[in-house]
Amino acid sequence: MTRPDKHDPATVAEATWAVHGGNEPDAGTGALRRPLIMANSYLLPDDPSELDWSNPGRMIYTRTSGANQQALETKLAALEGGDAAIAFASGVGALHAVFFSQLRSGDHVLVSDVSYEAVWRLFTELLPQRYGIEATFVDVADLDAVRAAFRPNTRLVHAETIANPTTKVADVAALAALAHQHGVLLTIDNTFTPPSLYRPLADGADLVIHSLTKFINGHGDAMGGAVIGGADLVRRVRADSLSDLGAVISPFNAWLILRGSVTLPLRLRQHLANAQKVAEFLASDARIAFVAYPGLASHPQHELAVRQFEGRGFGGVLAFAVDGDTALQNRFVAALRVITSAVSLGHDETLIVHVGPSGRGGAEHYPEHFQRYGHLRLSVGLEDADDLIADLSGALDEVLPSPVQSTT
Amino acid sequence: MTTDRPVDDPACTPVRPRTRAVRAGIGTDPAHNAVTPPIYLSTSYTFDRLDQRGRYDYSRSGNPTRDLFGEAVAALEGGSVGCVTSSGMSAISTTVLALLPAGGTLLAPSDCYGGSWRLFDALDRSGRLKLRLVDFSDASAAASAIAEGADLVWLETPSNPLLRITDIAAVTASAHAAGALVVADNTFAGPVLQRPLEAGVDVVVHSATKSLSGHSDVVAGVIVAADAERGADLCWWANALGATAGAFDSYLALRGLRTLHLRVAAAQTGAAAVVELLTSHPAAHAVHYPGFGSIVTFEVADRAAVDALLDGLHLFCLAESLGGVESLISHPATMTHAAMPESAQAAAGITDGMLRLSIGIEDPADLVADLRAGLDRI
Repeated sequence: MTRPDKHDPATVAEATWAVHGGNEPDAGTGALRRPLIMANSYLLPDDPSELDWSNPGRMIYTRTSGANQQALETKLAALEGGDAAIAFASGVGALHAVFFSQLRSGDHVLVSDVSYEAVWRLFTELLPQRYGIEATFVDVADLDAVRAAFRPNTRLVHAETIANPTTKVADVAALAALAHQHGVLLTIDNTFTPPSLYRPLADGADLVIHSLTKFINGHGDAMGGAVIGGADLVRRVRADSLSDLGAVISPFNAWLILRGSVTLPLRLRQHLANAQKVAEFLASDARIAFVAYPGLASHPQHELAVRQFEGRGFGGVLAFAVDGDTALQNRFVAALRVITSAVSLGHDETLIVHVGPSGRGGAEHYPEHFQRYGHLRLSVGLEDADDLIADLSGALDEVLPSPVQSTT
Repeated sequence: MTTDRPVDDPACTPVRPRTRAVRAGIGTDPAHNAVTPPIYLSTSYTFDRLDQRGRYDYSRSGNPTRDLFGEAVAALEGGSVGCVTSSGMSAISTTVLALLPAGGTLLAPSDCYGGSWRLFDALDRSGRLKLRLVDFSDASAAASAIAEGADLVWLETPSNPLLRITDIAAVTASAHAAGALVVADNTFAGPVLQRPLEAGVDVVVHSATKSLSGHSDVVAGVIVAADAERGADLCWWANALGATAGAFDSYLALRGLRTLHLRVAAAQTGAAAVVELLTSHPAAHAVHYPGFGSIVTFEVADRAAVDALLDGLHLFCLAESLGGVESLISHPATMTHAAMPESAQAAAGITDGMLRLSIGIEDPADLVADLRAGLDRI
């Protein structure tokens, strides 16, 4: 039997790595938890003539690297099962870094047609207009459509494991097989399904991207992003897109995210259990027009989600709408007394945001019911699930005082 | 379906404890509507006019970030006021100084926390109070000690490091009957597992350094009073003594508190697995565990056996403190209880072969494997 060693992720279970990964008792003082180093530069050696200024592991200047950033990167790389990771200032900073480093003018990419709004904007406006990069938006649930969309100059396929906010599930293994048949990269945004729920690298993705701001930090108080993957690819992203583009994470945010991620396994379990309960409650109420959550049998890709996530769960985010117009959705949100109306997701507190039928870039690709009702995106937090259900139920009673009784 | 609608307002009760811990201070920022509350590092607050003082004037007396943490712990303990201090010891010293009349009698557990014992003993030796020690887990000894007269009864249950249990309600009833106030140090069990105020205790103190903040990166304390007037008095004392906590520590503690329920449940699962190992391993002679919580104390043959076990642990850190996300092992005789003279240690049941574990939230199988290898080395 292997002796567990907290320095070696291969010898310990996930919950143990969550506590000890990236941490190291301080060599100088014995401090149990790694100190926060806010310094923006590090001492150079007495004789710098042999110094390798371009070695990314060498701590010189905080725009390139630092002790807390490296600690976070070490922890994240092992968490996702990658060789290496890079921490960025935000998830969008990480996404742009990947596209900037991997694509050249004249290249073509396949992008999920329900990608997060910032990705949508990158590929409809900035990258085509500024860099001459062309994108085709495809329905990744339709593998034939994906296959048909490849062109000779296609260089990359990008999707979200569970798309924000439609909850469309990407079949990562199938997309990886298609991408690799064409000799191109598959990049997967795994923000909605962080480990241990899912590890896209194990299913063939080449790079994984996270908004660390969400579940991995989990406390709604630090922005961050990450790119994780094989050593060579990550080295290229780092060389081209970190120091010169400058979307570097602050040491303090890296420290906060490292601290937040200590409880990721515990939090994630609670997020998943609560989200499933809340989704089932909403689905059972006739006043709800639709619920999009991969954990419901009614979700068009429920079977794929069960297979891909191996029964561990289906994420902490769902989308739904009350059966009524936009004004009713807004009144419903205003009637909530526990759940907070705000953007972002993956926090410890439950968050809800209403988006009207045409409120987002690419909304014409959303399922019909999203386009008809708009949607409420609910990020289910760590509260007692009964409080959340009581809050949703109470708000429904308030805005629809003569409910159609459900038959359950 | 529940009939009561939960309300995200500390003054209303229907929100369940887990929800309270998660949502403390969320969405309360009046200036910018920040979802996660701000960290108010400002030391001073402006007055609108000379005769118009706002809720805050100076951060030693009051600080919005500190108040959020204090209110959250008070809500979890079922108290009316929570006062956040710079350490557990400042919570303890403030409470004793505020509640005990000059020259009054303090009745404390014979195996109380070494730092508490050191303070009480020093106050006794310098004539500020009369300290008497008793084993509260012995009901008849406790009853007769209280009957002999006390102004303040100090409880710690489970006790440190032997995890003996005191019947809080029974001791509190007889203390109140004898005219004494009762304080419980609830650091070990915490409000998820035990709420002494519900058993009649007047004041609860915490080292928030432990499970409340939980990440081993904050030193802080909390005083929670059942009664609002007494709570205000304790806050007055904390301000007068300069014992209040800083905003940044309060923020980190509040951030930790949001996962308290998850951490306590995980640590308790780990403790159960470790107890199972210890009770079946021949090198562990005695295992002290009350059946709940994250602290496990056990004994090996002697100091040499302690050294053999400690030398080569890969997961457990040799360190004081407890209630953090990482598992710790400590040697009470030379570490946490070193301030106690040998005779007091012996009276408290502390031996050279005794080790105290604070179980973190790692995978229980990893903890058991590390500890088993240590026991096998004996």
